[in-house]
Amino acid sequence: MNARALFIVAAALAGLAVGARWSSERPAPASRDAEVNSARDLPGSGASDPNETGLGAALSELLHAKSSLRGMAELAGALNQLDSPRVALLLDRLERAQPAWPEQSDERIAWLFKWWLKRDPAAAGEWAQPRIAALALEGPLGFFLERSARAQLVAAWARANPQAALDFARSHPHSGAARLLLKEVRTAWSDRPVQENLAMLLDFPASHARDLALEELHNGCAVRDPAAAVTSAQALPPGPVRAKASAEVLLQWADKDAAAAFARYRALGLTDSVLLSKLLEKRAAKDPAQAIEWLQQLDPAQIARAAPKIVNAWVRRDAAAALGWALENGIRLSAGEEMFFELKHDGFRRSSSMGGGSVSPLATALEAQPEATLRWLQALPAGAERDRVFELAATAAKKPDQALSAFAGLTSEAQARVAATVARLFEKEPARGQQWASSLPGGPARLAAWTGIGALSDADIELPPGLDRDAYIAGTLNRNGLATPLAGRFATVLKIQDPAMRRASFDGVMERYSYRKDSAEQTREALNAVSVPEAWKQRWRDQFEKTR
Amino acid sequence: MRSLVFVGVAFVAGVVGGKWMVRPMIESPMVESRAAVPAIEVNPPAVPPATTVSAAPPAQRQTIHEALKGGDPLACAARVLAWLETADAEAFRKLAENPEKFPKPHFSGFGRPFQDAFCAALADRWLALDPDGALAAMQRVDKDAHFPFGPGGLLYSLASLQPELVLEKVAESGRKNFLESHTNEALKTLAARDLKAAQRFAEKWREPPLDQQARKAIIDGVATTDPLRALALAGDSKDPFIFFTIVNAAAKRGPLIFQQVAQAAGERLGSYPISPDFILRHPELANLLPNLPAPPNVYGVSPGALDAAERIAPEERARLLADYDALPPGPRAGTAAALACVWARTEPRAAADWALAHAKADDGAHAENAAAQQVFLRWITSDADAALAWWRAIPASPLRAALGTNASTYLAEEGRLDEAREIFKPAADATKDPSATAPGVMSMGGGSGDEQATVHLGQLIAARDPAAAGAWFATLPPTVATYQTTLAFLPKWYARAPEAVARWIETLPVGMGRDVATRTFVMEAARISPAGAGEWVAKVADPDLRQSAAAMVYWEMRRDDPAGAIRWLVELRGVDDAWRAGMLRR
Repeated sequence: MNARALFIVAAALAGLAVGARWSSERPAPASRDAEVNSARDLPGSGASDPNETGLGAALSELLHAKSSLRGMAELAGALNQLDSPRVALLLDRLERAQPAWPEQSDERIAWLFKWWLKRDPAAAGEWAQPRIAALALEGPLGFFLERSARAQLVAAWARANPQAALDFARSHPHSGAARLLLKEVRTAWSDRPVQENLAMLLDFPASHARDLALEELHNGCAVRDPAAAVTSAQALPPGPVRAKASAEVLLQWADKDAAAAFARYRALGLTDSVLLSKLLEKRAAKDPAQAIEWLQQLDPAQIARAAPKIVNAWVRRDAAAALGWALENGIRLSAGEEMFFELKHDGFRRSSSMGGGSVSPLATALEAQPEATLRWLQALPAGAERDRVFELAATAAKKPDQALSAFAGLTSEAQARVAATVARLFEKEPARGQQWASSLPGGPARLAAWTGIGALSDADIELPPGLDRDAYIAGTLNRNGLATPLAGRFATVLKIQDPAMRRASFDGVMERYSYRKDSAEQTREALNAVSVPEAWKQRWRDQFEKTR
Repeated sequence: MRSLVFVGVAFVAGVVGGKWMVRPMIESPMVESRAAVPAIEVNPPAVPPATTVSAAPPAQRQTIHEALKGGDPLACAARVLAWLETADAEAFRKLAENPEKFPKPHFSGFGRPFQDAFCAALADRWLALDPDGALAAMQRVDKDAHFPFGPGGLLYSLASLQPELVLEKVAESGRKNFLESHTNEALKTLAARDLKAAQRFAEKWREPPLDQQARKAIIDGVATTDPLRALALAGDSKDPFIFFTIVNAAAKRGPLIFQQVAQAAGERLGSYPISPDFILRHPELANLLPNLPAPPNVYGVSPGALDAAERIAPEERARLLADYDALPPGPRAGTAAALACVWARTEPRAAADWALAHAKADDGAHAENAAAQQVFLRWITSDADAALAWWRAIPASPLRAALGTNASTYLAEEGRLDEAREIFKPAADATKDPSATAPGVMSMGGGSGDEQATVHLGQLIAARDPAAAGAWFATLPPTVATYQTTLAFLPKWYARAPEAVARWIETLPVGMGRDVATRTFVMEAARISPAGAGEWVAKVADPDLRQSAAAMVYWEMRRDDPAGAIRWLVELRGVDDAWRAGMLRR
């Protein structure tokens, strides 16, 4: 090989090396996260610079689709090589590479920030500033933002810099960030005297963030010294914050010393019936006699509201005494509770929660003290009151045997009213339920029992033609809510042979389906198509016209 | 001279050759590259497989549970690797004896990534040590260990490493209505590199819905390497999540691939996959999209869209907003809203003016009002005085009313009740679609944006003074004087001062507002005294509401006195007989 050829080969090899190196230094535009892997804005290029090596290694691990334990173990070493400008660059890159909705934000950013904050608080704090400012312009933090990596890093900064966080919050008092910062400041200063933190909050501009912080502060104080916490809450300016903080503290106090909490409630002259009934309920769970004593000091409306809850707590300890007292004093054995409905800001959206329930001392008694409750029932003197309570017991029972025991003591009219409810307790014992329904004498109660059996899911049975079968079929119409198309329901209705039961079932089906506004057209079509007397249909056509 | 030319040509050829040698490894869709950062290429860290750990073992042998202690995930990773190095099959067998106590890492910040890496390393090592028993043991552990992040677990992680093994040995053939997460992951991983093999395994699931789930997993996998092929596999699917995966994978592969995918997909894309987040992450692709329809509503601005908008330079942001009409119609409103919100951080008035100019002033609930709504909300929560001055100065319109109504609760929450009531202007026009939802308002509680703001404002007024909320209710137009609004204040007021509520009802003018308030009063009173509440039923003038109030009394009465309730209903006057018969039948 002559010298010229050697030159050419050498040039080709050199080119090969440069090409390979060049190619390997370029981002791979078609690879995953190509945009974040781009090397264009990385400072420096020296492979020997440990900062560069560390940054490359850290990025490689953190931006890779799937982490490995080895990669994580090596990340510690890579991070330790970085100076603060590289850490900032690393975090910028991670922020940019965060996955799009619906993926969650990358919480590793917050972890790395906390690590950096310990290592170089000044640089980390400086990097965080524009992010804190941006968060402060996002209004109330909603579900997603509260849990975001950004909120977590802002919280970490605030814990490490409480005074700076407080100053920032004071300059943005109406922001959601202020709420977050105040919470972290209180955590950071939790070893300070409560009065100092209270003074800090009272000096904070009036705002929702301050209101919430005051409530949380008093809740925290109640754990250690509830008496002082109530005094402090009562010293707040009049308004919902004072009322809410006082109520929460009194309830916490009642868990430890209900007598003292109730005494303070009375001494303060509060008139919050909802709070009062909760206080009494807590007392009744431990000392029913005293709860009743307190209850009797209240006005009739307060007694009517609070008493069912007290009895409900009392029956767990002494069912007979509690139920007896309730009957004597005209207290309801089953009652609805206050409806709860609340909207709140969720970022710049709103979310709602609602609820409401019922309290049933008789059902609680049958569950907690079944034998004592059944003995108490049997001992009731004959009469209308006994019939009423037996009927309630038959529907309140959760076990078939209890229900049957109460059912046996009912009048035939009452049996007809509760038989369907009792039958539903045989969900897990359908054969026994059918046997029970068959054992009843002919009449409304037996038909109601078969209707209840029909409503049980997965209890398809063939009965001989007759009223029992019709009642059973009518019961099957109660399965599956509104999931079955109306035409299918009508087909079932037409299997019922007894004209009166067929008509009643037809109307029952229409009552449920006619409320469905989303399928009004299908309802009308099914109504037109079904083969029943026109007179049956007219009422429902009239109703459609009215609501059109 | 000629020699120099040869040398030059050889050098250039070498460069090209060198690039050719290296690039396929990076660009090959089959290889998941982690080599694109230059520092790594120059001095790549050694990343041996977990089974060949070379780290020095700790002086004292730790248990795996001890290795996971402490709050530092990176230090824990090293300790777990050291444990794996010396672990034997017996160690894994013991761990599997009690699946509920199987080690489950949970580190703040590294929760999900650590769990996946941990499970992958353990599964890999376990399988190497006990090829015959490991899979069955892992199945038992996964069933009862309850790893905190789902989908996840040993088999799920193993599915990424050895998909064929998982599909052959542990993928069930569909006893349930869903594919196990490891089956899904295995199909996805395998499809990314060998579509035919994945499809062969997928033949196990022929019945719906499992067949569709297997198909989707395969499409997801193929999308990561070949979005166009994934699109062809998607066929005429209506599943927006399939297209979401495909378009995001295509966007990562560059404008050319994306344009091909967008053109091929056409209207199949729908409005969901091309979100504002997507446009803001890939503004260069905005004009490559088909003419997709706009969604009926824009529910605020997602944190992801804001993050993406934040990273767009002010000049680029200005350009995008100036070309508002050129943005694709589907994600346009949400994209502009996110950009305008970031702009509003520094220039709220200018951003608000821009948003107002691009909104539909005559339709308060229009989707294209998203920017106006979102900018105004941010402004009023950061500088209420300036925002209020701006709002007062703009001409009255349905848009202005909607902005004020939606923002009123934010002012009220800060204690500025008078100003909140000033800007609260619910539409009195009953012809508007009552189901329409104003931008920025999620209708979780149902009802229009105006209705939700009304309920919320009522709640905030009542927190300070329930009687004031009652007086305010009396001023509301019928469109928002609803049952839901009465729930915002009446139950709490009734609990504290029932007589005051009764007196207040008597002061209300005759009409629907009075009737809905009376019905809510009846509902509350019936809980304390059903018989007493029954006397109020006749005071409800509207026949339907009267029957509804009667039903509330009847059901409350029935809880405690079924026979008495029936007598009461039978004797009740002023209700329809057919309705009564229906009630008695229930």
